[in-house]
Amino acid sequence: MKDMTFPQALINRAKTSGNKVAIREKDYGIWNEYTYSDYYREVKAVSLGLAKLGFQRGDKLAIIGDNRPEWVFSELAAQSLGGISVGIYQESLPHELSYIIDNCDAQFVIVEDQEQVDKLLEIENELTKVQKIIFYDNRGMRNYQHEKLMYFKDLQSIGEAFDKEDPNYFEKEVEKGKYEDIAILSYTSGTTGNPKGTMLTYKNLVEMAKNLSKIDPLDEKDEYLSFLPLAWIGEQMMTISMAFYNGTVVNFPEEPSTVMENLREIGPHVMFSPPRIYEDMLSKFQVKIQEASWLKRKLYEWCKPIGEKVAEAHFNKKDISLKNKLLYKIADYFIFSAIRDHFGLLRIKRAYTGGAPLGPDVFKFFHSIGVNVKSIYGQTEVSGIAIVHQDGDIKLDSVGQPIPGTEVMISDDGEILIKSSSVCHGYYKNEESTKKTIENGWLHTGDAGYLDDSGHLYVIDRLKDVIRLQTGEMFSPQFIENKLKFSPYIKEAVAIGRDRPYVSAIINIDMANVGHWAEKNQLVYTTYQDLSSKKEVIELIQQQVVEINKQLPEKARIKKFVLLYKELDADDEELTRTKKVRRQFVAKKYASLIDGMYSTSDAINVEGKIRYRDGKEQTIKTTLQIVSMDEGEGAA
Amino acid sequence: MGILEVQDVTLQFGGVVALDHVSYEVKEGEIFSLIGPNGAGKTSMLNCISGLYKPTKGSVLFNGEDITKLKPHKRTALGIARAFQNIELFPHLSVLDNLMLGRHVKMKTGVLAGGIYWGKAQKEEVEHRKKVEEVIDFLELEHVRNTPVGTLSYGLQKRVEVGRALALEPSLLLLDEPMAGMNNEEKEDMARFILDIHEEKKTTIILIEHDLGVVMDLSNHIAVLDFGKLIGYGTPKEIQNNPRVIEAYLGEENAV
Repeated sequence: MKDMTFPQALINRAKTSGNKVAIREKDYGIWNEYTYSDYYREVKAVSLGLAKLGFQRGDKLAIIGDNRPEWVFSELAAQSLGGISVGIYQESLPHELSYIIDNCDAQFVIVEDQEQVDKLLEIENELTKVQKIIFYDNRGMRNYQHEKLMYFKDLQSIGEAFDKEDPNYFEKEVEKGKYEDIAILSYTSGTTGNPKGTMLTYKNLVEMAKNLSKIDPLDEKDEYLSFLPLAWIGEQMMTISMAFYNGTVVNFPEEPSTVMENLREIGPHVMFSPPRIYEDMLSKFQVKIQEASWLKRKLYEWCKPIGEKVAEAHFNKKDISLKNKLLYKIADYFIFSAIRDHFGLLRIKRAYTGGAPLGPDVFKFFHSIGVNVKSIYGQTEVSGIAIVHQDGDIKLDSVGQPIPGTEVMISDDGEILIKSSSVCHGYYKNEESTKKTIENGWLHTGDAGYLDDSGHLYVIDRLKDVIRLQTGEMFSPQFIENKLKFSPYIKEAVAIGRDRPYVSAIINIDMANVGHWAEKNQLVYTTYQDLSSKKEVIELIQQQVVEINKQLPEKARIKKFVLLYKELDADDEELTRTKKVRRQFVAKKYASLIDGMYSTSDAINVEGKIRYRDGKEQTIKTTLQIVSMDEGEGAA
Repeated sequence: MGILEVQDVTLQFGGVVALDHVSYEVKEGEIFSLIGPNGAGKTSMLNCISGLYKPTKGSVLFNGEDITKLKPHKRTALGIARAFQNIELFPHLSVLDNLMLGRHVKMKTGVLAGGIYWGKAQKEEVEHRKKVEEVIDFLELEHVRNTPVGTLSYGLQKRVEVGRALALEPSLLLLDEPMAGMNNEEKEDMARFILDIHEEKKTTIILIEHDLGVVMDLSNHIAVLDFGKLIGYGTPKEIQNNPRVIEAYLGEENAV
């Protein structure tokens, strides 16, 4: 297949397999199909509409919305005219939108619905470069009169009229596209400072799909469910790059709230998500199995060891005896396949996880029930995936081996460096950061890590975050946090210890699971804050920490913790949009709380601001109990 | 002439006068609120409109037609739908089934055709399902489509209750305290849905509601009942300044 841009690949597929299903979307309760011909038609209409409005080669189109076919049509439409699409997280707050839209110089913005339009109109004065705001869900929009607003279907009507005037215009524009052109700007989540626009070319993205497909092939019969934000490079990679390269069918869920149900309905062959999704599935399973009937629970208990034995054998590359193979088949028939089906993972060939490390216990669980979960490692700056576990060669603590066409090296201060044809062109309008990040073709990932003899890469943590205690010991906070999050009762955790005498932790309880536990134990509670301060809940979490401390090296054990009165949230800038903890920010925001954990007091008064989803703010004054782990419970 | 006219309606239960010579008009396409202290006769009024009660004296006209003596199911067929205060859903049926029940009045095929489910019956089922899916989409109920209604939170059940009334494609929608028992966020959601119904489907809405903030924000006209008598009628602004209304709600001392 010749090196093509995405629009060129679309035209190619429309010509060679126009009747084949490319996209499905569930709407009004049924799955609607778009063939490649439909895909082509829709993209052309949007594209020509944009052209009529004055969209030029090199212009940027910002796109904000949930996963819907229109999102993808818009991206391809901009690219067809030689433009660049800029996906923005749909949960972004107005000031975040203002920064990115201005930074990327977008003149046109396509958004999903009234919510996004309202956000943009709120910051209208700051969006000086924006000419038109186009929306594709017109619900609630009937009373909006604004010269910049336009309905998606009206844009397409203009495009269709243009097509009649000049039927060759579209294909001529697509022809002009070059493999080395920039395809998208992907703004990195920015755990520090402002987000930076990573410039990725068609070559970057397609080469990555090519290289990944060499070891993990997909074909046209495979199905994929696209439910993570399309602004995220991981989702771009699967929904656009891999889908066009392999012809995989992309399915869009009905609503964000129906994703789990849709996952079950589609039963995709390949899946890609950050660890949180898998951790959530495991937590749900742990709670459900506790409540299941005696028979189901016993069945799982009998089958669990066989599953674990087989998983062990996979990880250690040992052969499985015939007896165990048979036992596993029986266990699979009785229970494992049912569990997989429940989560929609029945047909999964590969379930990738990336973006942050996945705890070994979560790994073991999924493999024991027959789900091929594999780590990937990469960054937006390298088009998504650079390192992956090969099928059958999975080491629990590593993130895998480089995909074909990729070189990995560890620098003198322990930083992971990557070189491949998928390394981005740099950051948009930010020469300084670009120079710091890419030297001689080598991408400085900012992660600390090491390679072992078999070529497996191990990631310790962000170079900046690796914590050195006062005593000199080094450890990865993420390692501790993952262990904590494995408990179904703990949703999020931040491990602290830089330049301190011991490790402490700020913990968020999992409201749903702890609430459930509270109800079963006749404990009455009201809000998240109330539940987090209950004596019984503190004891519950303390028990969890005792268990976890047993698995940690002595100096890394948690000596004190608090249960935070609010959940860490991306809207409060404590997490990134991909739900990674913004360590520096959290350390600053909760500085007095953290100081309290390193004092001799056993309780600390805190005053914090809580912002509700509707924007209202409230100050919370409460006393948090600082829980100390006694000697003998694993404290250092 | 409004879509609904209440003419000198009196409702008496033995010695208790629930409604006392009440007259007003509801204009087509407006949001009309009925307010008043507890026991003022609001639900009784709604019952007279939907057909659960027959007034002792007076008449109710719908689109000029006298429906005072018409049975409730005949009024539904005319386009009047009601969402009940205490939720009248079937708790063991799914949201979808409850909504499909709302379409019952429009279904034409009989037991035999439905039992064998061929041709005409199937076509009808698909059509009704389509309409119900539109309601599900409108009220954002996709994620609980197949869930038994009894397991849903109170706020969601109320939404399904409104959905069932909507499934009838009414021209007049009667909402009896749709926001009772909800927190601020749920109230805002419900208010938004009511506005959406009003704007997009052009349905006339009669609303009984205690949250006066909501009533003042949403209504085109308000009627105030107290001890069965109509003590005020007008726009929100007029009602806010009506001394009789202030007295009824806040007591004599506060009346100007």
